[in-house]
Amino acid sequence: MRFRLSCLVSAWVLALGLHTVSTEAASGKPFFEGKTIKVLVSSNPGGGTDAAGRVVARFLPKYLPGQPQTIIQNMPGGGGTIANNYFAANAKPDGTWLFQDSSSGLGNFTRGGSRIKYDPRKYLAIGSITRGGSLMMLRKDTRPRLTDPKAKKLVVGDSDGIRTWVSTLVWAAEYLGWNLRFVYGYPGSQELQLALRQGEIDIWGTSNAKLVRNFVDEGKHEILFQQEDKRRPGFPNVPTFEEILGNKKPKGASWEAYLAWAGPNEIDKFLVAPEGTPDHIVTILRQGFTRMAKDEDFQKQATSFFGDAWRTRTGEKTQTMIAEVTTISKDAESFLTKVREKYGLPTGEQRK
Amino acid sequence: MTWIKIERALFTLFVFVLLAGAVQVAREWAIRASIIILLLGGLGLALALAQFISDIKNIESKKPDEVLTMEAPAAKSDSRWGNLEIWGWILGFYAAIHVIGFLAAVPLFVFSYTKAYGGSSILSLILGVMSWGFVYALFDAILHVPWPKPLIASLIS
Amino acid sequence: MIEAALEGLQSVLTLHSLAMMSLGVLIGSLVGFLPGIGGPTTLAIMLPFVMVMQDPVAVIALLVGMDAVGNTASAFPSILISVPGSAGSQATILDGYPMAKRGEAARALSASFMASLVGGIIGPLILLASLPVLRPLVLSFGSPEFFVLTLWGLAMVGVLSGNAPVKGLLAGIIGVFIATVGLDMKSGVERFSFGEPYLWEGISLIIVALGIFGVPECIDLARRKTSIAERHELGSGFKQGIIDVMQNMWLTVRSSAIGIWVGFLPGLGSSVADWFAYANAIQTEKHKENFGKGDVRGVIAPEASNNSKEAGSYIPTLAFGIPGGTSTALILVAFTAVGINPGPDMLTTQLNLTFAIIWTLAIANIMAVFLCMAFTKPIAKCCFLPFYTIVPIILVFVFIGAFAANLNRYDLLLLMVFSTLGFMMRRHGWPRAPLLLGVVLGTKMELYLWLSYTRYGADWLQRPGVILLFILLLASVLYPIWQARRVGAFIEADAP
Repeated sequence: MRFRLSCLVSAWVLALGLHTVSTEAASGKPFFEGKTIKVLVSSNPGGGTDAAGRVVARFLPKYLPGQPQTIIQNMPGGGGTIANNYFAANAKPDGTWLFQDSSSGLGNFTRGGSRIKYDPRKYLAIGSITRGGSLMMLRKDTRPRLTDPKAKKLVVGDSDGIRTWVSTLVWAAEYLGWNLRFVYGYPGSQELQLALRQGEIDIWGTSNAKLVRNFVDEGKHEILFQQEDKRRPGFPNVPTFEEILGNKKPKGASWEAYLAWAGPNEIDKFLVAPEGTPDHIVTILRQGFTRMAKDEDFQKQATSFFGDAWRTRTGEKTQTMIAEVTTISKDAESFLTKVREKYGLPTGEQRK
Repeated sequence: MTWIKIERALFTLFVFVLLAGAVQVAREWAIRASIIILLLGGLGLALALAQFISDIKNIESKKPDEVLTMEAPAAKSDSRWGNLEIWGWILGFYAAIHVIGFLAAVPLFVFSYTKAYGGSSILSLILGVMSWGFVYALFDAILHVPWPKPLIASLIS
Repeated sequence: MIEAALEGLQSVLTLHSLAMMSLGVLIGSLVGFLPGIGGPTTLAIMLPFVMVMQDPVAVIALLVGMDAVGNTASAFPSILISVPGSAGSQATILDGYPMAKRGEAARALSASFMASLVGGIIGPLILLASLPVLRPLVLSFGSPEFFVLTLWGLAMVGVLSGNAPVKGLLAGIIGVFIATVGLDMKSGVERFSFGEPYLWEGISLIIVALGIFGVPECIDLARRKTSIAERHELGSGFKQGIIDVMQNMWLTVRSSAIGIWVGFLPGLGSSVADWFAYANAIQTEKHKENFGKGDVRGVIAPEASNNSKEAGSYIPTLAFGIPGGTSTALILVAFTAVGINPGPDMLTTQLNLTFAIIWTLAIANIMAVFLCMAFTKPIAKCCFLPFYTIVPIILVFVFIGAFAANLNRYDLLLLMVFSTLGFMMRRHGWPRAPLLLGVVLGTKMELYLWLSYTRYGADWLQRPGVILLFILLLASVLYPIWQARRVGAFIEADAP
C-alpha cells in the first residue's frame, strides 16, 4: 500500500517536473530575452574597429532569440593589448560578453612579449567583417622607374612599417626586382594621403576603396594591384598580387613568411566570445551573425562605413583563420626577420 | 626661511636626475629613436647643472625670495601645512577611488570636504548627490564605462 | 559657386537645421564648459544617434555646430578656475585666471566671447576666400615645411619663459621627453614605456594639462581658504570686456588669422593655435609687462585664434577629405555614415554641402557667443562662492576629465604624477607653458625632421617653402628685439 502510494507520488512529481521542463522548452523563453550584451571594442570611438563594433551591435540583436540590448564599451590602448588582456581576464562566458577586435590584436600576439596576457586562439569566433584587401596606389609619372634598377628608387610610405600590405611590396622588390625603398614614421593615414598627393611618397596602400577612388579620379594616380584572392567587383581591371607575381611566386619558408605577415589583414575586424562559452550559445550567436550579414539595412550601413568590397566570414571560418595566422614556423620566422632587415623595416624590439 | 631655497635647489636636482635617467635608458635604443633624447638631454643636463649652481648660490645670498616668471605669483612659502592639508584630501580621494570605486568616492569626497570646511549639511548633501548624479549619468548610463574593479570588491568575494 | 552658396545657406536656415544646430551648440557648449571632456567622449555619446540619422544637412548642423563652439565655452573653466576647458583654451589661463582673482572675471569672459565671435566669423570668411586655392595651398606643405613650422612653435618657448629662460627651456625639454613616451613609429622602439601597454600609445595631453595647470591652482585656492576672487566686487565687468576687444581689434583680427593658418596644419594645429597667438601677442604688442598677470590682451589673442582654427581645420578636409584635426576626423566618420563623401566631391558636386558647413560654422559660433554671454554674469558669480563648494567640484571634474582620456585607472595615477610636478613647478617659479608646448610639438618636430632627411637628404633645406618660413621665423624672433631697441633709442633721444 505504502509502496503504491510512494510510486504514485513519485510519478506525479516526475510528471510535474517533466511538464515544467517541457512547457518551458515549448514556451521557449528566448535565451537573450531581458539580457544586455556588452561589446568591448579595442579602439577609441571613430575608428574602423569601433565602426564594425557599432554596426554589429546595432543589427545583431535582431537575429538573436530575445532581441537583447547591446552596449558598446570602448577600451583603447596598447594597440588593442589592453582590451585583449581585460577581455581574457574578465569576460564571463555566458553569452553576454563579446569582443570586437582587429588584426592588430593578432599581430601583437604573434610578436609576443611579457605584456601579452591573452591568447586569441582560445576565443570563440562569432564572425568577422573584412573590408577587403589593400589596393596599392602609384603616382603615374613614376611608373617607368619601377622596374629600372638604375633610376632613383621609388619611395613607399607607411606609418609603422609593419602594415600588412607592405609585405606585398617587399616580396615584389625581392622577386620581381622592383626598385623600391621604404620610408616609414608618418603619424597616420591623413599625413600619408597628403604625402602621396605631394609626391613626397610614390606608393601607398590602403583598403579604403573610397579613398582610392578619390585618388584615381583626380587623375595623377593609378592602382598597381590589389591584395586579394580574387579581383574585387569594384576593381575588375586591377590585377591581384598573385597574378602579378605569376610564376615568380616563391614557395616554402618565403611564402609562409609572406602569409604570416599578410594574413591578419584577411581577418580584419572580428567578433569573439570568451573561452568557455557553452557550445549552444556560440551556435546561436554564430547563426545570428550569419543571418545579420544578409540583412539589407546592415549591408547598407556597412557599405557606407567600409566601402563596397567588404564581406563577412562565418565564425567557424574566422576561427580557423585565426589559428592559421598566429602560427609560424622557425624557418619562416627567420626569413621574415632577414627580409625585413634587408629593406630597413622594423623587425621587433630594437636594441643596439 | 632658507628651507624654501633649499627645496628649490632640490627640485632642480630632481630635474637633473630625471634627465640623466632618461638619457641612460635611451642609450639602449637604436639611434633613430634615441637621438632626440640624447641631444636634448645633453643640453638639459648642462642647463640643469647651471640652474642648480645658481640655486645653491641663492641659498646663501641675503636677497629676499623672489620668483619671477610669466605666470601668476608662486604659492607663498609660509604655508607648508596648508599645502599638506589639501594634498591629504587629494590623495585621500585618489585612494578612495581605488578602494570603493569612482561612483562611491565622488559623493563621499564632495560631501566630506564641503562639510569639513564650513558648509552646511544640506549644502554638502546636495553637492554630493549632484556630483554623483553627473558621474553616473555620463559614465555609466551613457558611456557604459568598464569601471576598474575597486579593492573592496575583491576583498568581499 | 553663388548658387551653391545660396543653396547651402537655404538648407542651413530651415527650422529643422536650426533646431539641430541649436542642439549641437548646446551640447558643444556644455562639453566645452566641462574641463577635460572633449572630442572622443562627445563623439562616443553622439555616434549612436548620428548613425540613425539620414539627413546629411541635419548631421552637418548637429556635428559642425557642436564642434564649432567647444572652444568658446571652454573659456569658462580656464578663466574661472584655471583648469583648461579644452586643448585650445590653455593659453587663456595665463591671463584669464589672474583677472578672475582680481574680481574681473566678467570682463575676461566677455572679452573672450567677443574675441571668439570675431574669430568665429573671420575663420569661415578666410576659408571661403581661399576655396579656389585650397588644393595648391595644402599641397605646398610637405614634411620639411612642417618641420620649420614646429621649430617656429618651439621658438615661442623663449617668449613664454619670461624672466626665467633657463627654467623655461628645461621645462620645454621635459615636455618633449614626456611626448616621446610610447611607440616610436619610425623605429618600432617603445620609448619609456617599461613594458606597460598603457603607455604604449603615449601620455594623453589632456592629463598633462589638467595636472600641470588645473590641480596646482586648485591647491592654491584650497590653501588660501577664500573664494577665487580675492576682492569682492565684480570689477570692471561685462561691458568693459567688449570695449577691450573693440580697442584691440587689430590684435583680434591678427590672432584670428594666426588661428586659421595654424589650424589647417594636419595634426599640429588644434592644440597649438592658442599658444602661437598668445606668443605672437607678446612679441608684437607694446607695454607687455602685464602679460601673465592679468592683461586682457592675453585673453583676447588665444580666444580669437581658437575659434578661427576650427574653420582652418576644415581646409584639408574640404580640399582632399583629409581631417585637419581630431574633431574633424571624428566628424568625417559621421559624414561617411550618412553618405557624405569627403574628398574632391566637396569642391565640385557637393559644393552646396561645403557651403552648408561654412555657414554652420559662422552661425553656430554666433549662437554660442550669445548663449555664453547670457550666462556670463551668473556664472562669473561663482568666483565669489566659498572655496569649500568650489574645490571639491573642481577636483571631481579634473579627475573625471583625466579618466575620460583613456577610461583607465592609470589615467588617475598619471594625473597625480603631473599634479605633483605642476605644483612643484609653480612653487619654484618654473614656467609651465613651455612644458605644454614641448609635449605638443616635440615629437612632431622630431618626426618631420626625420622624414625630411630620409626622403630628401640634405635637399630639403633648399625648398622655397622652407626658406620662406625660415625667414618668417627669424623675423618673428628678431622683431621684438628690434622693437625694444627702437623704443630704447627713442627714450635715449628724448632724455635731456
